Amino acid sequence: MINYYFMTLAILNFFVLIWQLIFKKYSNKLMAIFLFILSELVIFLFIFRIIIIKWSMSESDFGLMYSVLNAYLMGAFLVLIGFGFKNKESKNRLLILVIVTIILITSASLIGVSITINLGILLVKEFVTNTGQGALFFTGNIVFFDSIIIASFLAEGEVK
Amino acid sequence: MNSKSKKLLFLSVFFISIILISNVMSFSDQFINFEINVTNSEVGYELPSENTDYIAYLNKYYNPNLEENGYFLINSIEDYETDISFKTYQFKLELNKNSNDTIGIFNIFQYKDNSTYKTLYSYIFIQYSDVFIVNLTMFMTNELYVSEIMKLDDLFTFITLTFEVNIIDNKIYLRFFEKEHNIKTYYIINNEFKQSMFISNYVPILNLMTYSNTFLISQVHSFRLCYNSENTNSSSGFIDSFLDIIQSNNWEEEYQSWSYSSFSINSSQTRNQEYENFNITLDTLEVVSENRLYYYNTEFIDLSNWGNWGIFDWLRRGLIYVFNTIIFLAQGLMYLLTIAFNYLLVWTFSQIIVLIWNLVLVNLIFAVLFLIDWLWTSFLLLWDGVMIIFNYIMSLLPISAEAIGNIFELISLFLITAFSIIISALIWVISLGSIDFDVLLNSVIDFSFGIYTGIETAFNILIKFIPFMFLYIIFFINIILLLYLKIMYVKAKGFPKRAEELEKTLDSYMEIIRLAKSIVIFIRDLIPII
Repeated sequence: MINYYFMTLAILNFFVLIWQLIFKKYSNKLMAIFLFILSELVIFLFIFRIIIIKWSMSESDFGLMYSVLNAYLMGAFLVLIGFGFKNKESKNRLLILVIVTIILITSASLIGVSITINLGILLVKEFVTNTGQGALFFTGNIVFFDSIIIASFLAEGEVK
Repeated sequence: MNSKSKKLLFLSVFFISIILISNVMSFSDQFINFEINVTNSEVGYELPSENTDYIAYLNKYYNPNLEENGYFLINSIEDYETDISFKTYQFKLELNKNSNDTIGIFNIFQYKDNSTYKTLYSYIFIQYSDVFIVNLTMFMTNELYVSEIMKLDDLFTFITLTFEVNIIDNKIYLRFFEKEHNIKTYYIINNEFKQSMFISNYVPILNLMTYSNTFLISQVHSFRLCYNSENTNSSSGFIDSFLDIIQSNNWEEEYQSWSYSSFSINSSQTRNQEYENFNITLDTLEVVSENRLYYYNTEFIDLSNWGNWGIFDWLRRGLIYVFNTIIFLAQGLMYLLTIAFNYLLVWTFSQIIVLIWNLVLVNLIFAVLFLIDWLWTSFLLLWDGVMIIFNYIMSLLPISAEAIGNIFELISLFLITAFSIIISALIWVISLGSIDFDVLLNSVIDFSFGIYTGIETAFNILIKFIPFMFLYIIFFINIILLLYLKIMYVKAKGFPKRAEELEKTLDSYMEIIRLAKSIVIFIRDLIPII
């Protein structure tokens, strides 16, 4: 039941924090501690199986179209709440490399990635990249996504 | 901290708070036991099969009378509600060491197994001296049971029992433990549950269809049973003692009272109506007169309350008399007001409600039911008529009904053959008759069938895609509207550069809509008439 891999990660994360605090990787120590807590939380979400990521082996027709649309909508959502990618060439190259690798592994969307999030707010808990489940995920949890977008208004500020 | 990290901090705090708020209940409920010592496994009951649909119940059983022969009676199910979460239950119990005090803890699970409801009882008995033997036969009628008798030491008179339900590796664990004195009992129920507890924890009622095989269980109610060995008839639990307190306030003996007549609404007779699809029983109402009491007190202030005033004692007595008289008069006034209000209520509410219910509403309900029934039966008759006519027309037609279903396929086959014949004829004419026409026609038909099957599969996939496409469009329009709202917000805040950025984003989002529009225009221009 318990994933020992994630348990080990959670313990190792503590050493990473100490390393960061000693060698001052981050200028702000508070930020380092905060990021540590955040990452611990994410790891524990995996341990308690609140977030489950696995391959979805079901082949689907039109899988490439579905994955393109799912990725497009997820990207649009992320840009809207303020996680836009900056214009750095190295970042873009890395991103393209990651995308190409994922497409190769999933053999052009014949295999998908299924993410299950067992949160009480979400009405539709499963998101699969290469099927129409993505559309159900977005529209089923539209209240959740809209509330996050509206909350992100408060974080808006002027660009330098 | 600069503004960027502040933003990041705010967003992170927001997300964390959302996660925490949504999981407060679940985190408190979930408990993972790393060490399980199973002492009592496979007690000897049948296991539920794989096709088990678990339904959540919370059963509260009350009125545990103890009869003379020592049987427990469970008379009635008092409450019934759905609850689909695992919980840890704690209850404090006080034991009287000197008396022959026995505590029985009953736990009732209900679940549905192959469309039959089954019940699992587990119960524990705790007492000091003698082992209390319970006849178990009454629990064994088609039901599973687990039982254990605990015997306590004489050292303590106060225990806190904790009850926990948990699933680990597809097995249910029931656990009672008492922390201070290290009393533990474990039960294990082997079963093949397909889903993990975490998914079933969060299943809203709408998703029950999706996770029909998940394990949904609920507790469980416990009660305490105390009795005296000398007098077996006076069984008293904590609920009984509470009732005793209420009954001990004997108002009629302590206070004087005025009486007045009031009314209450009772059901007089029942009307039963049965239709083909409905069966309803309604009660008609009637007003019954009642005699009620209004309590008053003539000596509201007692003489001893104000002490002794010596020479001015006559003044004390006089004042108390005056105050008591005033309070008595006030009570009389309140009595009169109560009567008046009572009559007002009776003549407005009781009469009107009873009249409207008996004369109008009851008949209206039956009329509506009759109407629904009439409409339903007439619809069925009409449908039968339509089917008869349809079958008659179909019998007249030269082709069968199954062929109608494939009419589009037939049409397309016809078109393909016609198209192939025309094409091959053209090629034959161009080649000035130097090619064998039959060979040419066959090869053209094969070629066009290849194209047709390709188009058909693509069309089928597209038809499957259409509902999802609508969902994608809905979410996309929603995002565009919110982005527009955000631009207005940012402009109002006075961040022009950020607004420009967002406008560019909006422009890129709108690009797809422009593309779709141009495709529609392109298709429209292909048709010459429009």
